[in-house]
Amino acid sequence: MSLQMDELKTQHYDDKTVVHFLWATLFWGVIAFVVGLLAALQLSYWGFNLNLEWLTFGRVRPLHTNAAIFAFAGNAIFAGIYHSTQRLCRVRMFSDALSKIHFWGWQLIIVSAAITLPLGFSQSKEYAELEWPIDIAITLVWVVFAINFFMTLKNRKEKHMYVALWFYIATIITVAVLHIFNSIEIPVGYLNSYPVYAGIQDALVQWWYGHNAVAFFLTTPFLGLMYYYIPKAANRPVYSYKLSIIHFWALIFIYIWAGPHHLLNTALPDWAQTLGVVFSVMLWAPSWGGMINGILTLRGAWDLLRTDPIIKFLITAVTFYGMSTFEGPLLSIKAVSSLGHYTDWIVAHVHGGTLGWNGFLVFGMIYYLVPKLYQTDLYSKKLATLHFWIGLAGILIYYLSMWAAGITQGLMWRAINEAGQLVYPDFVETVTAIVPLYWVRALGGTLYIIGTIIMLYNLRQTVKASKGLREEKVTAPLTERKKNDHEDKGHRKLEGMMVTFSILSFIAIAVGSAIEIIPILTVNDYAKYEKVIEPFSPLEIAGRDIYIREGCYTCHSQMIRKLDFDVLRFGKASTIEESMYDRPFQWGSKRTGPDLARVGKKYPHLWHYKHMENPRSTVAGSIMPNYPWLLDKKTDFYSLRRKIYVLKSLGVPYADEVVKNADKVAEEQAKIIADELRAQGVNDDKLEQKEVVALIAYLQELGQKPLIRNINLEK
Amino acid sequence: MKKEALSAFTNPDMILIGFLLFFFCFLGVLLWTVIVADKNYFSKVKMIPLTDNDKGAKK
Repeated sequence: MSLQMDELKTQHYDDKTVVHFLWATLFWGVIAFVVGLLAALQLSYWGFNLNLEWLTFGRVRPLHTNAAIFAFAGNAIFAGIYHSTQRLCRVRMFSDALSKIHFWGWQLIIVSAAITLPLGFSQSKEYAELEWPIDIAITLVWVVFAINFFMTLKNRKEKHMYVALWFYIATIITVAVLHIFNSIEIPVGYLNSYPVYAGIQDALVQWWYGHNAVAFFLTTPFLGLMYYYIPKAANRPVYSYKLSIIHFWALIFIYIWAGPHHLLNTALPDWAQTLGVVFSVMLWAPSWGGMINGILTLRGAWDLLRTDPIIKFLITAVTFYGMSTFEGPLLSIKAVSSLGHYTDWIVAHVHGGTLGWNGFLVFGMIYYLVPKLYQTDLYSKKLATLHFWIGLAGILIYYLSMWAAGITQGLMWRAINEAGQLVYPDFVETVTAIVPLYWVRALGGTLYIIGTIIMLYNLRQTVKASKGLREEKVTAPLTERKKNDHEDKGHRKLEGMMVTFSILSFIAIAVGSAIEIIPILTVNDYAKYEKVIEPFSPLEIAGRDIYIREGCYTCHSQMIRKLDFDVLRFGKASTIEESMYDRPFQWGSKRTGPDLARVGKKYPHLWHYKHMENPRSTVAGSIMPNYPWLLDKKTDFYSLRRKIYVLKSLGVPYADEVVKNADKVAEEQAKIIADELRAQGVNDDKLEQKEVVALIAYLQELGQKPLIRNINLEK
Repeated sequence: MKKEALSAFTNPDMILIGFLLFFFCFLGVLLWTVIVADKNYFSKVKMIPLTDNDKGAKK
């Protein structure tokens, strides 16, 4: 009986899961875009932060990026993979139960992120902000997805694994490796943790992850979707299958090396920076090979670009892929990076990729899928075309405004007059100069959202007019797979061997990862150093955790680059030692506000107090949000013993007495600062208990810690 | 100092091994794909997405 049931099941594809992921894509997509628009408005006018701690830019920005990457793009990837894998393998997904666990597990993770990020539970590592219990959940759900996918491959009836499946394999393996290694952390509470890596190690591991999250979450799965949906939509085979083989192997091998280009001109050793530059420039070739392969699939049918909105979306998406993968390596050249890094040029680059490449590919895929799955025609091609043009206008307005903002600000930062002085010494004047462009950016985002709403209406009408979800029968394979197929040779044989292919894909990404990261992680084996930086005091650690909670890293870097204009503006270039105990590192990637690496002792305590209460009282024209709750909320002294204990166990040289009495040591330091503030006029009897004092303690020590004898050397 | 040690560290052997591994694998895939591989086979397998029940754009 059960055998018969199983056979019946295998006669139809599981499209319910596909549809679930599709609607989740749209639901979370709208939320991600609206949150992004809110963030854009907050940068245009600080009042949009609404003086609400869970709605300030520092918390909204990670919410936006996580929603866009993991909720919108993530659900879209799963929809496309579940739909195309079944058809390419000519078999139903391995397990309906695993498909359901995957779908609901992923939505639960997204909801957890949507709750915890606004509440300030964050690791402050970009695109990896989620705290340790959610990290574990991500791992489990990813394993469920991997089992379901690989068992489907194992059960496939089609002999050959089509190129789209290779990209899915690389995605699943690499995302698992990246997530696990970047998320190794020690919990210090139910929703707090410290990473095992510190300073430069943390920076390199994070950007190895961060860069490859883009590579293997926003690129390789989308290339797989491109190789499936462009031929489907155009009803023509991919331009060159040979090119797709070369594209695949070259791309996955090279991409993994390029992470250090996020850390150019910093304290990262030059050899690692050079490695990142060289491999980033090499990426031009495979990326453009893939783009050409995608676009030329339309050869002989270019008229579809004029008549078919799905083709418009898909081909424009691949064009944006080409533009982004040209701009990425360009920005990875040290000289260009010195202008573009920390500015809105990077924001423009990122959004060209996400809105253009990822967004438009998803829209094209959805416009293709919904009518097929619901066995009907699209309600209105005109509305889809309108969506295309409005969306494209939105992207271009967004992209060009941020490009102009980034280059303008970058040029202002580096402008030096004949006397060798900065032409724009006040950082805030380089911000106010580009605020009008932030309004223009918000207009671009609004248009993109309007386009998405038009799509929602169009799809709703399409489904409304349909006969319901189609139950599609499994198609016969083109070349049936037999258990003892041995006649193939070379890559053709490899394409039929799932396990061997997967292992080789893993080796391809492991080589670059190992060579890049192992020397950094084993630095202590060959580096003998006599002096180390004095660690932060318990109160400063409490302040640092508040800094992380508020997402200060989203606007402030703590890394003065080895560039004349950076040194002139912020002081001596940052060194590795200065952040060697920072868990997580706070080098940052954007300067909407000034670098803070040497802000310690630059201003009196009262300046910081007033600045947190209302930044415009100390810096006219500032776009920083108010932080009034820091003046009311009490510092968590209770957890400091545990935190300092964990930090000591990770190698930070705290004396045992400090660990045992961390809370008392912190309270004593807080009282000194509070007394100074009261003497300067702050009227608060319980000031020493307030978070603002802990934050001031931390900020005042940035760049001020002296080098001390390395006690580890004496052991 | 830690920074000096790191700056001086080049590990050329590891980088060279990694690069050569990539280069020869890439060369192998390239040569096999361009010279050895059966063109007819590729022409067949690239039709896989187009041989199911769904049909795409109509001309």
